[in-house]
Amino acid sequence: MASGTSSEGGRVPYLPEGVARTAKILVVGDFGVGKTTFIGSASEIAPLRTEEPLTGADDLEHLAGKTTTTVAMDFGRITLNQGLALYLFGTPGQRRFWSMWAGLAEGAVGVLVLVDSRRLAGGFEVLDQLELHVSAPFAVAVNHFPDTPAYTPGRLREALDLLPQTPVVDCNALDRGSVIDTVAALAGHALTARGGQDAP
Amino acid sequence: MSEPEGRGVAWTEEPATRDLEYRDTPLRPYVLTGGRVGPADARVGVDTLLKVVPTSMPLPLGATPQLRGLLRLCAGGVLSVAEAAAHLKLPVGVLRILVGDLVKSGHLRAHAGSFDEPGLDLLREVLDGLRDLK
Repeated sequence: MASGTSSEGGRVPYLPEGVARTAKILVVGDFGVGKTTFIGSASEIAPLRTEEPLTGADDLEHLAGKTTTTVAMDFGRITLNQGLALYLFGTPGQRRFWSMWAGLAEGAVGVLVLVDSRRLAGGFEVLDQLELHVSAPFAVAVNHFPDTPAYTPGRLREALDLLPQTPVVDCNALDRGSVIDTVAALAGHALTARGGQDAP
Repeated sequence: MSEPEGRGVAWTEEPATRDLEYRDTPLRPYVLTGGRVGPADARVGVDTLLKVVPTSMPLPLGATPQLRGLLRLCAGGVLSVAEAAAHLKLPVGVLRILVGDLVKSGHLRAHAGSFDEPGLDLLREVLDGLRDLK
């Protein structure tokens, strides 16, 4: 009875037998900052994409003849042990997409804000939203492009006007080890921010 | 070292990268749910896992192709709501409604998913799991 194929006919990478629990992390950032690359580097499956309508359900009845704006959500999966899978969800961070990722942040381990140091301003709206509206812990990851300006962490922290407890991590979205380290830094911060002890 | 521009400075979007991540479409996805717009089950989230219930009970004759497609996909193994949505090319919101229908009819079981703040044990398990990947 199992067909195991997607709508495109490709093989579907199902979860390993025994995985019965999940956790999620949000990767939020400006357009073109490398979210999909970042997620693809960490993910055990080819990154997947869904397109989500922005419009709230209440507005749907009044949509006749109008268009719906859809926003892409890219995501990947890491099976962490025999029973637990971690999902990484990437969404654009602009304020007008807020309705989409605010709900996603609920129950998340934490939120990773991916920024490009050539275009720091792209991260400002995300940080404003996070500080004002989201209870989940967050960390800032600076994706290194070849021509990325080399700021000291202190200068970046100052420019982004971050609270002292918010971690700033350098990463290379193309490098799996670097991406895993970055996600682990967020998980460690989430643990200590919620009162736990990080004992490696 | 150069000076990074500070937060609070006005900035503009770059149109070239825009349409990679969002677009306007005439698609009205809720047609796929028979016009229903919810409410979907609040305990069905993006990372909720779906598993078929072994049953010989057929789907109702009026079941939509989307409903049948979801059940067929899930018959192959366990997937999250987000993965099922991506494979079926449906928005997560639509998928949650379809899941609700199949759970109600006894064909599908939905379990797990992150809704409340994660506990310390889970956070430690996530951290350990990530470190073990190295």
